Amino acid sequence: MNKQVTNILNKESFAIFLRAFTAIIGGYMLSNLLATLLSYLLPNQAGAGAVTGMLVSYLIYAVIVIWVYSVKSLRDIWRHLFIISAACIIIIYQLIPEKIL
Amino acid sequence: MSAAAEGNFRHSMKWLHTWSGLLVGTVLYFMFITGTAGYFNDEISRWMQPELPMVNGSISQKKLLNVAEKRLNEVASESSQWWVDFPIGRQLSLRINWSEKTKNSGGEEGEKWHEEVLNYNTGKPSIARETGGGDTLYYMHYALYYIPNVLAYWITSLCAMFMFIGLITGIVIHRQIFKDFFTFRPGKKQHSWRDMHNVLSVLPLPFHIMITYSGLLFLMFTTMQGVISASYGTGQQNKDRFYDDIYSQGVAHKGAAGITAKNITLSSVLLAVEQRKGENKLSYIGIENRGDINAHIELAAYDYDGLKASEIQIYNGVNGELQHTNKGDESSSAAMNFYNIMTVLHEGDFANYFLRWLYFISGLMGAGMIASGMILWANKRRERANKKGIVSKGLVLVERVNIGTIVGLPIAIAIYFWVNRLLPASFAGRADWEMNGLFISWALMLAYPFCVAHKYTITKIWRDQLIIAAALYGFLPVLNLLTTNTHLGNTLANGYWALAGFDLTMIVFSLCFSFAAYRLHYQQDVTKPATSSLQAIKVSRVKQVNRIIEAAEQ
Amino acid sequence: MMIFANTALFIGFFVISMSIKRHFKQLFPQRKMASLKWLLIFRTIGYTSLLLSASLYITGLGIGLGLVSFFGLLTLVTFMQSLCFSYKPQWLVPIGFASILYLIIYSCLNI
Repeated sequence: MNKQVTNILNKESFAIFLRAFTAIIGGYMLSNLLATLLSYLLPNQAGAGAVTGMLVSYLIYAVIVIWVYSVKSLRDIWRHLFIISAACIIIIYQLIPEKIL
Repeated sequence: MSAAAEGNFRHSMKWLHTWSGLLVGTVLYFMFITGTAGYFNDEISRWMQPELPMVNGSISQKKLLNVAEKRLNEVASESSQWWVDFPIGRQLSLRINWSEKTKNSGGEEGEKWHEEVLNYNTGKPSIARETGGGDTLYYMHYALYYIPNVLAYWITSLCAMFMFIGLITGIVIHRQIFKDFFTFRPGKKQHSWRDMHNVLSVLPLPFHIMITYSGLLFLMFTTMQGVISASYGTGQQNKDRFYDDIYSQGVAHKGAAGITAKNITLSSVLLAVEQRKGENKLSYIGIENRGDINAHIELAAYDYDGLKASEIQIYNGVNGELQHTNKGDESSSAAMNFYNIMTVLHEGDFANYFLRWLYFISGLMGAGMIASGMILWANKRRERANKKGIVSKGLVLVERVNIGTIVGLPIAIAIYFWVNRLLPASFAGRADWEMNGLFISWALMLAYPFCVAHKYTITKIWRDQLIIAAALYGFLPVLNLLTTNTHLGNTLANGYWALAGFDLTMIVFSLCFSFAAYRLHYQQDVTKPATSSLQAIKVSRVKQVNRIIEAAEQ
Repeated sequence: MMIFANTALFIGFFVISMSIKRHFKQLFPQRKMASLKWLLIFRTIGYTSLLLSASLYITGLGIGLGLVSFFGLLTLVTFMQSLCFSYKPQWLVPIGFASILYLIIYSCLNI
């Protein structure tokens, strides 16, 4: 007779969820930050720069997701995400056009 | 990368590929099927309004414009905007649009648009049944249904991102991408579905990558608006500034000056254009600021130069001089050019009927890729479950949802067409009820496996739904014959290919579903709960292939 | 010109498939597997034929439409070939010869 396997909120499920969360949410945030950085650094008008940033953002997002799933230690990933995001935020804060703040 | 590390990487990518596909597979299948239908949205819409006059061959656009202008003078003599769409190419009717100034209760001025499809013989409007047509199927693939648009954009974008990851990981793990290029091994248990999945993903791979990435780009102004806000600030006003920056208007359409002046007729402009460019080439012609000194007449040919839409010409409405030629898709920045190209590729407006069928087939292959992936997963898990004796809830869920989606959604779309024919033409809110019919029947098809799973094997449920699908699609042309005069007998005889093509395609779909049901018929044991639906299918396939091989060898 | 392009497309994939062991056996069950040298030759001819087909499409229809049509036809041709390999591999060699013959006759008649 086939037994039913019930999924309880155990450690393994949580680990899977956490990695997925990191990839989806963390990846989205970081890809937005990097895309914004790209849009500032390009020597275009603001509009074209923003568009280029958005075009590339999905590629960056894909790379980040794959990276999150290829590194064994989730802690390492969180560390890297935090450092890179912090660096991005600092640089963006320097470059952001005054009228927005 | 060391061998062990590479092995781990491939293992992770395999996991990612499986789950990014499986979790949103249903939604992606829905998006692919409705989006693929969208490539023939005009033809579907035309079929769903059989009362419209059948326009065949090229009728003189001079004559059509005369008819249109006469009607517009009747109903829209005070209107400030007139537009006429000619029946050419994929535009299947003579259509007029005009605007009417309205004043609501608060005294605010507004604009209301009117539309009529004209019978070009009588000059009178055709009353056609209200329907969502093929356009609603098309909108659904990015705007879903029943939920607010913006929420739908986020959902479809997220699913598209899952699809994008699925594609990339699929390419990464498919080591033997060229060895397996043509491989499809029928009758070999596990491998057949995986081979089918490979064939359906690798062969149209350029299409899949383009469609997924461009699909993401389409919604990027919503999902990646953070990047816009970082340069322009938040809020709709700033966003509008951004749009002004990136979209070059060409010459801005001047507003009305408030000074009345006599305008030339549209027909006179048409005559001048036809003398230069030849007859019966226009897609549309229209006039803005009618009756004003700043009136201008806009027209464009129905022509695509490669991927680019043909140029729009703007004439002075008082003296008929050519004021401006707007080359459409041209943009000042490389980024917007890239965006335009990707979106043009996604929509395929430029595609002639041959290319359009290729788009359609590629879209169906994409849907098949998703479907075969989900079936493959379920079968693999079922085999494992049978060996180990443990069945997970997830497996049971996926097996049943697979049937309800992969066959259930096509059934629902067939019901959408059936309801279109069965509801009376004057039924109030029939457009909404056609769509409700689609979703109600999909819900029923999803529920059916759950309700009968204790009685029937999974294979039998597959067969049941395939037979239902075959019947619904097969009898649709018959229903058409019984309820309208745009049936195959008429349309084939008169060469109305847009309409005939629809009925013929329904027959082809019916044959495909029948064939699949027939294949599932030859199985070991219907009454015993199938140990593996794939096993049953494989046995039948082995028999089929053996028979073919024997026949070939004789 | 499109005839050339389409034939080149078909021949390209056909020849590439000859360089794949499993398909070579399906096409020529009697022959022994080709040596490495021949595999490379097949692959080169195949890819060159594909490149030729793509460039003919681009020349004939412009870069945008040409590439779209090329990839569209590519899907169709490969799908047809993969179906043939699965069910009727014995058809492919005659079709290959017939297409080359057709190409020669067509070009003779039109030059």
